[in-house]
Amino acid sequence: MRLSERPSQIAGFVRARIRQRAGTLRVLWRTRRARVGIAGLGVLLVLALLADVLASPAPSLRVLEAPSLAHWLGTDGRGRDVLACLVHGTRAGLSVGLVSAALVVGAGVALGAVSGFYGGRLDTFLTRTIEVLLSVPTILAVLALRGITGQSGLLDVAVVFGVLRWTDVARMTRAEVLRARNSDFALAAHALGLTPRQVLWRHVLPDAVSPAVVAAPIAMGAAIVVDASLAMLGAPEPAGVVTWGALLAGARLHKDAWWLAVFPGFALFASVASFNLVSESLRDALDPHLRAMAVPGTETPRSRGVAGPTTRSQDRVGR
Amino acid sequence: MLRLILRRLLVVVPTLVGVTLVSFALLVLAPPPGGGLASEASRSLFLDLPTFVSADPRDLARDVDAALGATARGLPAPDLGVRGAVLVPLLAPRLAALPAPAQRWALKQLGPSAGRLATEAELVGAGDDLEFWVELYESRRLDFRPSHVRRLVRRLRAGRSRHAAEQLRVLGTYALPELVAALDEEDGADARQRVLTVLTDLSPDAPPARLGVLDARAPEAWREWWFVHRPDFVVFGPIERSLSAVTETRYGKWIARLLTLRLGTSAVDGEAVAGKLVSRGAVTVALATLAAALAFVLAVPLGTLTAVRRDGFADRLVGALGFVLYSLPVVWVGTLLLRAVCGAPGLALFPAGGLFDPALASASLPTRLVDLAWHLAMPVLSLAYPSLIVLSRHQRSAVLNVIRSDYVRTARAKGVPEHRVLREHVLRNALPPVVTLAGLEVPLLVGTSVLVEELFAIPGLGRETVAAVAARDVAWLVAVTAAAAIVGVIGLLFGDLFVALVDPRTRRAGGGRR
Repeated sequence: MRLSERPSQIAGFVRARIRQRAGTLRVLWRTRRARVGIAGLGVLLVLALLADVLASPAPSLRVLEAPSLAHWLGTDGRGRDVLACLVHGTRAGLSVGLVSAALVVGAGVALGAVSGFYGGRLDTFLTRTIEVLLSVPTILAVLALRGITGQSGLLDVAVVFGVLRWTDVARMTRAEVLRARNSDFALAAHALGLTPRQVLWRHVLPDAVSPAVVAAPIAMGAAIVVDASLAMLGAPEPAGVVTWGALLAGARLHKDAWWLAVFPGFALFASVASFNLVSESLRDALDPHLRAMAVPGTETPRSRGVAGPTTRSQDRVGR
Repeated sequence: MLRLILRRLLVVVPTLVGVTLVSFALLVLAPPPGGGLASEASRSLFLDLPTFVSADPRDLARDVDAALGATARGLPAPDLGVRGAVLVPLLAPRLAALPAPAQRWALKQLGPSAGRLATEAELVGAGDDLEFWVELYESRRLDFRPSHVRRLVRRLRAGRSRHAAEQLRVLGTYALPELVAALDEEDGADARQRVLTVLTDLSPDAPPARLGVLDARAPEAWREWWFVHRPDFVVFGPIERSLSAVTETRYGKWIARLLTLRLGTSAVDGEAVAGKLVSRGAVTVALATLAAALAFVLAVPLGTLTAVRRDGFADRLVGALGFVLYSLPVVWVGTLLLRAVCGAPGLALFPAGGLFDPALASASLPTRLVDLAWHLAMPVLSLAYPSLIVLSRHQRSAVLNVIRSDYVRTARAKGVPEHRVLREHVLRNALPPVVTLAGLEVPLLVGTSVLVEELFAIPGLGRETVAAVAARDVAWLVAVTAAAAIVGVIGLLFGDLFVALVDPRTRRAGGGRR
């Protein structure tokens, strides 16, 4: 290869990559499920950004009022408007989810890639570590940590979740990296004189991130659910923060207030469902076999959940 | 085959070590309790010990030597008087050879033991302190032997000798090891009470003494106290001395706790953690097993059906329903079920909590079993449905992968009936990965059952853990995390071993894991 050829080659490579990405997004947008999921996430995001403008969850004396025109979804035990609480709760939910997913994906991809690409003793060590962490129940670990340290901040949950649950992503990434490392294109890159690190970064990893991309929204939803479950298990609501879990936990205290049981739980369900929809559509869009089916003019792929090797372990990480 | 199983079991060992390290990390995170390193709370967490390796592990002999060394250098030596009569065989024979300041210190430490050891006449008759102790030890030397103490404890337990208790009191703390060991014997209540009485007399300052002799928790409290305080009263032998560099550390003590199941006493009710772990853990494991079994038994036919009738009506219905269920958080489903069908405040079709109806305590066994099933229905259902969805999806994709394979086409081509194709070619090849994944469900189920138990008021690990969080019960929380992780490891192991049993390919490859 002559040096003068390289710029044009790189430009071609970049163009192809952009086309590929744009293609993925276009395929993604084409399915109805994806549009519903993305719309749901958009609503969450807008509510979180505009929460202060839209509603104020200030405590009042109108405690435990049933839904009415004044309070569409009723009020909770501290006289806060439930709708306003739900709107403000998106902030806590999204921050827990984002921090958890960032940790899960970051640690999972990095450690899984290193483990699968370099192999050897490091791989053995990481595989064992993953097996250990897989065996620790998340809710129990967060609960134990709260009891032991006496702290229960919002981000503590997210951090523990991330530290424990990068394992699923790491396992899937490792398998993908192993496959890509032994492929012809990796061999070709190696033959062209690229260093192992270059092969990993430029050729192997881009081909192996799709399980992590698919897992990220699931991790966000799962972290939100874990946080809500912990509220049900008696975690106090952090000062100055509104969480859906704490609202739902109020339903155990006030048995007659059905609106406390129904609406926060539905908010939880709707956001988890959005995350899952996005994740499933991403999986279909990233799967080359299914993408081939989704050429313009034909029907969208019906075969939900058809598993290629990447989707085999769509473990969800908490409930 | 056997070699494969053995190899898989060997692989579990490093995993278990990892589990001990993770739970140990929780222990290290515990904030030090008030009262400094020497306080009882700190010592029961072994905060006074180094973390992994002890350069100079301490026992009674090391403490005494350190104190004597301090007096020789003119430094203030610690007061070891509370150690009691164990000091006598260590200090009395050396008294005459000690330099004057050390001698003064040693006599001061021995002082509290004098009243018990010597008769009135001896106390009055002796000249100076030094002479008194030399003479006393000369006459009592034969009493300070482990075999003598053992004989006395044996007589005390048998209850035939009135003097045994007296003599043990005379020997003071020197008798502690044998007395605590006697608590492990299968004795009657009387014998145990006699042992406890003497123990309480010997070290009235120890916290278990405050429980009183009749308290059922007292034996465990004494064992726990001895587990923590043993180095204060015992001189290590040569083997223990060399091992103590790793055993007399925080991690070493944690491993010792796990191996001997001496997990301390709960801060909530003072009961032994290990015992509570077994009784409550049985409920949780039963709940999780029932849920896993239910999920697996339903998921396999459901997944197979949806795969065979791919894109048919049933497949699409199950797919849509599954997606909804998959996104429904257990915490919401549990809350709604409790309100809607468990009579809080809706229809009371199912009981609202607990495992048994107290009104049926004297009913016949079948009635009580039905009652139990009645109580378990809703909890098991809310625990099982996420696993059901996940496993049926895996089963569906596994069957789809197999159904497209050449050997299935061959089987059909040569005229094998469809049901036999399904049973012998498809299912046999599709099941192993799903079983492995069912093993992975175990830790998730244990985690979720914490929540379900709290919602449905089931007396398992989860409810106990919630109480422990409120009470900041470190002993319980660390132990329960370790126990749950060990259950999880066992779940993974069973999944792998089952696959090795049914799948000859893994056997030939010589490893249970991909």
